[in-house]
Amino acid sequence: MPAAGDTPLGKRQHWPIYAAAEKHRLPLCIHAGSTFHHPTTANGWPSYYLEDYVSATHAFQSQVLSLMYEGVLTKYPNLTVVLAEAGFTWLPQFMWRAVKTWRGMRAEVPWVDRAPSEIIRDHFRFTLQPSDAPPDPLQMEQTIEQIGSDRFLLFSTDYPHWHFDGESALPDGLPASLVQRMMVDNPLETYPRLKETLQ
Amino acid sequence: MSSTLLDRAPARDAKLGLVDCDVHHAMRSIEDLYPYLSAKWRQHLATYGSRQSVPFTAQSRYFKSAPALSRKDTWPPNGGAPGTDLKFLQEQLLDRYNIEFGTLHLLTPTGMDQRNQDLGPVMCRAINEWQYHEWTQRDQRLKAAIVVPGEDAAAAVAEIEHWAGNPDFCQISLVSHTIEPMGRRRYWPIFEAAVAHGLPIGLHSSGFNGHAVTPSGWASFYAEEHQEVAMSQQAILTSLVCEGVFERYKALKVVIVEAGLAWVPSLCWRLDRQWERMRDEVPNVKRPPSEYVRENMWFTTQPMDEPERPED
Repeated sequence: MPAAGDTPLGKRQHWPIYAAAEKHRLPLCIHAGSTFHHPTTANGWPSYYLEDYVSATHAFQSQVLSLMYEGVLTKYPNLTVVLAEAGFTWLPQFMWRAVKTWRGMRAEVPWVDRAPSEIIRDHFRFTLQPSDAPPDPLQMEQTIEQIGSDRFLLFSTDYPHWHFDGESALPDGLPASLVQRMMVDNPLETYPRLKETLQ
Repeated sequence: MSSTLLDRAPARDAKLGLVDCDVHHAMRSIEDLYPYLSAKWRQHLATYGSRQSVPFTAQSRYFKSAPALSRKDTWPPNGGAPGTDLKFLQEQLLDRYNIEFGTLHLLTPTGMDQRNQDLGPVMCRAINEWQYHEWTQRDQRLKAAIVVPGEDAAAAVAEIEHWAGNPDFCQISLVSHTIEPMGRRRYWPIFEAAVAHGLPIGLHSSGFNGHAVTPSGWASFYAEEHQEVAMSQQAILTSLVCEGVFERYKALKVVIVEAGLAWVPSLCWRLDRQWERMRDEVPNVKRPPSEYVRENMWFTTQPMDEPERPED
C-alpha cells in the first residue's frame, strides 16, 4: 500500500485486509508513494521533488501512529508491517515523542495497552534503503543502539531505482551482528513463506 | 522533567534570570479585542463570526487532553481561563522562576487564519494593541510577537512596519500551519521585513490552513495530531531550506516553538543525503541543508522528546 493514501491506514475500512494478512501470515508492506489526494505535507504542496521525498518520512510516521492508535495492532497481534524506503534513523526521536505523548494521552486510546516503542519494535520492519546515514559512523552506531532492536532492519537495494548503490549498499557504522541478521535472519523471520520454501 | 529543570533555575539574586521563549497569554473571550476594534468590525464579528478553513472555530479540531490545554493548577483563583490573569501569571511563573524575559505566544484567536482578507489585518492590529496595552505595558518582562496576516504578505509587512520600532515586541509571529509551505515566494516579503528590522520569526505550532493533518487525510485522535504538528514544523524547515530562503536572507532567524527538537539531527541527515543526489533540482541551495539549519534556526525546549535511556 502507498505511504500516503486517501485515509489513514488505521481506519476501520482497511481492517479486513489486515485480518486476511494475519490469517495467511503475509506481512503488510507500506512503500513510499502517494495517491496525491492530500497535500504531501500538512502545510500544503511543496515545490520540489526533494521536499516530497524528504517529507515522505512523515507519511510513513503518520501511518505508524494511525495503525497503533486506531487499535489495529491490538486487534491483529500477529500482523507484521514492513515500511519500505522510509528511512529509519528517525526512529529514536519518533519513539521518544510517541511514548511521551502516549503517557499523557492514553486515556484517549485505552486499547493501546503498552508503550508505542514496544509496539514498533514488535510489529514494524524497515528496509535499508535509503539509510539517511549520519556523517559520523559513531552516530549510526548510537542510533542503532537507541532503536534497541536487531530485528527491525531488512537488507534492500532498491534496484533498479537511483538509490541502488551496488556493492556499497551498506552504510558505515552498522554493527556486524546487525548486518548478519539484516541480510538473512530478519527477512526470513518477517516473510515466513521464504523460510518454508527453504525447508 | 520540566519541574526538575525549573528547580535548578538560577537563584533569585542571580544577575540575569531565565529567558522563557514560550509563554502563553490568553483572552477571556473575543470581546477582549473589542476596545481595539471599530464599531463596524465589532458588529461584523458579532454577526458573522470568525470564518476560517475549519468547521470548528470556537475550539480545536481535536479534543485536547486537558481543558484549555493547561495544567489544573494554572486556572486563576479569581476566575477566567489559564493565561488570562496577569497577576497570577506573574506569581506563578515570572516571579517564582526568576524569569527575566518571557516571550508571549497567543494561540487564539488569530488574524492570519481569517478568510476575510479585510478582517485578517484588522484582527492582527487589534491583537497587537491588546498585547501592548494589556500585557507588555503592564509588565516589562513580557515581550510580545508582532502577529501578522501572513497569507497576505503586503498586509503583513505593513503590520511589521507599524510595530517594528516598539521595544515591547521582540519577534514576528506567523501561525505554523500556513496555506503553502513556508519557503514559497509568497512569504518572502515577510522575511525581507524581518531581516530589515532585525526581528526573528517565531513559529509556534498553531493555525488552521484547511489541509489534512497527515498526507493520508485526517487522523482520528489527538494523540496522533499532537505528533503530527511536529512533522508539520519539519516540513517548514525543509521548505525554508529547499527554497533557498536562507541563501537569500542570510540574517534571517527562524525560531520553531513547541515542536520538540530531537528530530533535527535525523531530518538534517536525510536532507543532506538527498540534497547530494538531487541538488540540481534546487539550485538556490548552495550548501548542505544542515549548515543553514545550524546558522538560521532555533528550537524551544518544551516539550522535549525524552530519550528512553537518560544518558542519550
